[in-house]
Amino acid sequence: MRQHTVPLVGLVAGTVLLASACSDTTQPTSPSDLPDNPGPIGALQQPDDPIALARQVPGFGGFFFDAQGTPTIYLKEASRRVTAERALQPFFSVRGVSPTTMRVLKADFDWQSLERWQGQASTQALATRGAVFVDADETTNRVRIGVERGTSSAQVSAAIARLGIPASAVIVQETEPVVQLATLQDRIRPVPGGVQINFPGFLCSLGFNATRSGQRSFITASHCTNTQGGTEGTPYWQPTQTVEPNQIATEVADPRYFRRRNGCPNGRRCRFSDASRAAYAGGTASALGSIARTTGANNSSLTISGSFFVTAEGNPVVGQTANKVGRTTGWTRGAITATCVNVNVSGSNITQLCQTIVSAGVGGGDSGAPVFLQPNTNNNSVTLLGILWGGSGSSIYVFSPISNVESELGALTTF
Amino acid sequence: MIRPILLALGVPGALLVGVAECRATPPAGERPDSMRVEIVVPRSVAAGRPVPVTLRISNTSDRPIDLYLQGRPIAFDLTVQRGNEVVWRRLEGATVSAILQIRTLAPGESLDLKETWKQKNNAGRRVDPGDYTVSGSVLTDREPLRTAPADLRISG
Repeated sequence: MRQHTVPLVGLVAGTVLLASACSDTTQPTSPSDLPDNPGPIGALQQPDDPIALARQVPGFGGFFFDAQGTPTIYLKEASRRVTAERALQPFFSVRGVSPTTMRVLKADFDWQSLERWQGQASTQALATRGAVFVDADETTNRVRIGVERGTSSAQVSAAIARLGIPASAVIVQETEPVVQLATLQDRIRPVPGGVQINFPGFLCSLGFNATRSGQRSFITASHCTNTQGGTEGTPYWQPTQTVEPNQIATEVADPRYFRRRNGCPNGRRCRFSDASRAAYAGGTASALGSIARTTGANNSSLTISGSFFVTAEGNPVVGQTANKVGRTTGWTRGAITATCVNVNVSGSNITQLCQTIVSAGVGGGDSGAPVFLQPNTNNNSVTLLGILWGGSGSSIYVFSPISNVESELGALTTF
Repeated sequence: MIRPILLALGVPGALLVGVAECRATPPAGERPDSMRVEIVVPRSVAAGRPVPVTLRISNTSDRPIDLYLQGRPIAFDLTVQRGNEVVWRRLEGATVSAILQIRTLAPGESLDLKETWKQKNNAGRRVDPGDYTVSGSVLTDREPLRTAPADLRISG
């Protein structure tokens, strides 16, 4: 039918071939089959809408072009063919097609019934978990209901039975779910690494999920908390409090910056990582080891097309290619150019000790992003390297190695 | 996105102002907002004296606008040029935190980002007297907000 509940492009592929299995071999009928007063049929209909034109033909059950491009109609009585040809004349005329080429299939149900059942089924079936679409299907002369793979069709079938719709009029089939394309700045559940997070007045990226002493958590930058250094219970939302008012997590660990020890320069405050940990709220699902993957590296896309999976942790080595996924510049990758560098943070008295520098794209909002190796670019297994926190220009970023992060936040289970 | 027409306004009095009439690039789905980004410097400063520089972002629309500005504190760059030669850049070699700060400007409200240039180049040497231009930019999560250049004379 034309008013799909969800976009169905491609979902009907292949079903037209099923129709040929019950093809009626009725040949074009003689003009004597014309109704006594056929004039009004289709007179006020749109010439480009065959369903609207044919729906008044008694016993009409659907119209479509089959895989070979042959116009095909379902009729409960083959003797109505000429009536249908007359009704569809405006449609055929516009296309220069002869109505005599139309193939007639035996209809079990008329179109009005199918549309009515579609409407009834939609209210019930689409309310059940795993339901994807409800269609009055021109190609099968049935109401077709799509359910996600792995979903039991029993619940849908029971709902149909309660409505009094004949079971023989309904096809329940498994299909892929229809999903909207999401970006790193959208609401994503379960929450993976690499997506946007918000705390009062600021936007950052979520680094990676981790468990610490049994507590489901995520790691982000220390400066992505209300106060950099010091634990003050920063609340987090994903993607923003405006979009999703339910808080997803609360800051639980962010060690204070220290002075005058471990090589910290005079007058500076230091740490070995710009990292903090937040504990997830009970109602927020998170995906341990999962990092959102966009459509490609260094292509500026923020559209999520899959996931990376952390399978190991590693130490950065100059010359390796590091990857990161952040809410502003997406997935970028480039060479590690320096390791264990002490870096002053612009506009502050903070020095981050023993950091790693990468020659790759970065932008405001990428703070907290996960940095990782992708040993084999043909699969999505990655080795976690650390947490991004800053940049110099738009093509150099700095991150805290995972070993530094865990030395300050404690041992983490990251996959 | 910066509007290509840049207006350099010579303001009578002590200050020179470089103004860029521009439109911010808001998050996808929102319409652009009108704002003005300008640099404010003295017209003339004696050699060796500190030069106060203000990068001002003003909401010239009739409704609040949200700015997404990088850094904590907000990262803004200033460039002092003599002819085509850059003699000083505020963020030269600086590492800026990659956080985004959300600042809402009410209609008519301005955000001033201030710095003092000590008349030294990035190598730390004092610059010579002469005519200079000062321009600025503010990092966002998209293209930076840029000002038009303002003239500055360092008298000998």
